[in-house]
Amino acid sequence: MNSENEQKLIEKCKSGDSTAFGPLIKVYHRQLLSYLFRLCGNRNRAEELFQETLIKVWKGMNTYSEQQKFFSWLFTIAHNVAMNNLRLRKRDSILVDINPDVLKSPNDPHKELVAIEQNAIVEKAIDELPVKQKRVLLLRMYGEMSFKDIAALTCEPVNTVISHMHYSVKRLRTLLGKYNG
Amino acid sequence: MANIKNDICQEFESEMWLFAAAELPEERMEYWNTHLAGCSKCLTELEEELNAVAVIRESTMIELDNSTFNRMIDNAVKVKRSRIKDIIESIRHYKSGINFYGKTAFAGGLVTIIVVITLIMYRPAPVKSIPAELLDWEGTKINSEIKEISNHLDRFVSNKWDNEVSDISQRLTIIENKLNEF
Repeated sequence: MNSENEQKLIEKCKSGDSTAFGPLIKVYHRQLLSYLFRLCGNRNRAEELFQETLIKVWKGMNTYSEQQKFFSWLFTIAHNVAMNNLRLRKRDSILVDINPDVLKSPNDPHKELVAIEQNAIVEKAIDELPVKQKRVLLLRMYGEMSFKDIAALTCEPVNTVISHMHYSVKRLRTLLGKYNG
Repeated sequence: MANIKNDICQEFESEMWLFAAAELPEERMEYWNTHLAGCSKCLTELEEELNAVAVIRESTMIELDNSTFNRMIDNAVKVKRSRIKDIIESIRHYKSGINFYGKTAFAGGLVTIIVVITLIMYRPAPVKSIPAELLDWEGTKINSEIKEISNHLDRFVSNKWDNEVSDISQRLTIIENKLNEF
């Protein structure tokens, strides 16, 4: 969505036009949901957190200012919702949720199986990352947040954030490399 | 030379993600662009890192089906409005019918009765007044007591000094007689 259209939708939402809210969020909902899912490890809980995020975003629309990118603002709210929730409840054990879109290879069942296995390995690898590395990786990967914004959100220096990103990607690449032989 | 190149490549590795995000100052971005043009190792490393993240991102992305998404949006936008709607509805409901003024009058009357009963039940006790004759009698008695004490003191003082003077003059007489004998 180009920034002009986005700005129009934001203005409509601020004035109370609920019909603009769906199209505004639709563009970013995959990243938001995926981020929440990777943090909590459970699809149902991720959807609950997503719902809570949407409620907070709608109620707080008038507090959004153009100084910050809308997507970053969304992600900050989602991050805070997730952190508050995870503080109150223990994290579920991982239920590896297979992304069905990846698996659609009707003509090649072997490819489908490979995709399932690879997906499971990647998800397990992400989950096994140290918490701080995982948080930075997810914020960068799904949220496309700048390292400066990630540093502000996680209350860590930028160099530390870069270091987390570097080691988390290296680790995942090593795992994927081993898998691919 | 090889060592210098390795150092530069190591330096690039530490700034690679900032470079990829274009978060370095302009001169630094240009510097690394120049380096990458001549260093296939760093270029490959950068491309592989970015590809890995892209692949992981796409393969792990999840989404909602349209109906679930729309239901969640409806739930979110409903929350803010329903509160206002509820307040408006409750005011309308209260005001409906011919008994609105009757209800208000009854409520006002009830409040008045409660206030009056509270004031009656918790009325402070009146202050007791002392009769004037009693006050006068008390005053006279106190005055007479003071006078008597004063008289006693005077007698005590005058008696005491008279006795002392008499005692001293007796002693003086004795001493004088002794001196005369001597």
